Amino acid sequence: MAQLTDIDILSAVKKGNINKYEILVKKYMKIIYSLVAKQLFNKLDIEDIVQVVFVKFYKNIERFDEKRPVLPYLYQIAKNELKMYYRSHKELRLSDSLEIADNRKIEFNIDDLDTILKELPPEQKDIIQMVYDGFSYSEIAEKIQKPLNTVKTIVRRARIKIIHTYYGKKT
Amino acid sequence: MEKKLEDKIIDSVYRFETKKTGLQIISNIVIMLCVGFVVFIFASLTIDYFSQLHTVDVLEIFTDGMDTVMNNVGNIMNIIYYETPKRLVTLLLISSLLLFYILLTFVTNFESMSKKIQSIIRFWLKR
Repeated sequence: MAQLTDIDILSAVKKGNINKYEILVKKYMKIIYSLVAKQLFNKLDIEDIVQVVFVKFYKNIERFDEKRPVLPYLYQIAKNELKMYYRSHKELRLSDSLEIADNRKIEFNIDDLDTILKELPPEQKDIIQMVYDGFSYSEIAEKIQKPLNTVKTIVRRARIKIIHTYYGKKT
Repeated sequence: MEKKLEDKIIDSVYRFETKKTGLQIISNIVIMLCVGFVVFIFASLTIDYFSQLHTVDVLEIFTDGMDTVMNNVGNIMNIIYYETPKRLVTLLLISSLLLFYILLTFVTNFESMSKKIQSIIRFWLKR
């Protein structure tokens, strides 16, 4: 049996042959899985997002022009889903672990963390300490008389520096 | 792992399609019945109206021969026009066109709908 092209598969699905969609899923699932796995570490979250990508594509299949390539469209859906995932999972808690925006987690021991914090510039260290003490970004911005976005930028830079410092010490 | 994820995806797709197709069939049937009923009501009222006024009697002129008919075509059309319940006939025409459109859509989509139903049934039976 000649291999079906994406155009054939999409035309068949649009005509009601839903079972042909399985071929498309088999063809692109690994690629989308790899893309999402580069960004996330939790297996369940990766699988959820991959599932959502293919279900969303199926829901929009009637409007999709079968002559267009499928993969870029799937990529776009995956990227949008990842954005939404980051938005709903964004948090920074500093205890003896550091959760970064995309849920990557680094386990520190307390001594390491103290040492790493000492290496931060004073402004970054003070703000990270306030985050650790439970202040929200708005409260921090009010306290230090700086705009909210500035506080967020400082926190982001501090996180990056912590990661680099931590991995530098480990090697 | 891959096979499990694949199965989960296909499962979600079929669940979605089952709900969508089911709702589509039910809504099509309900709309067809409603519009059909409306057409029936308007048609009945129109026929009733015409029979009460005996408008149809004017067509008996056709028994008098073609010459008489040709000479009185204008009068016949006038009588029918003035005695016609215009609003009722307009509504009847609109609802009939709507019913025709709905039936046409149903017929043109029938093949894809029946293939979907077959795919769905096969899937759920295999489970």
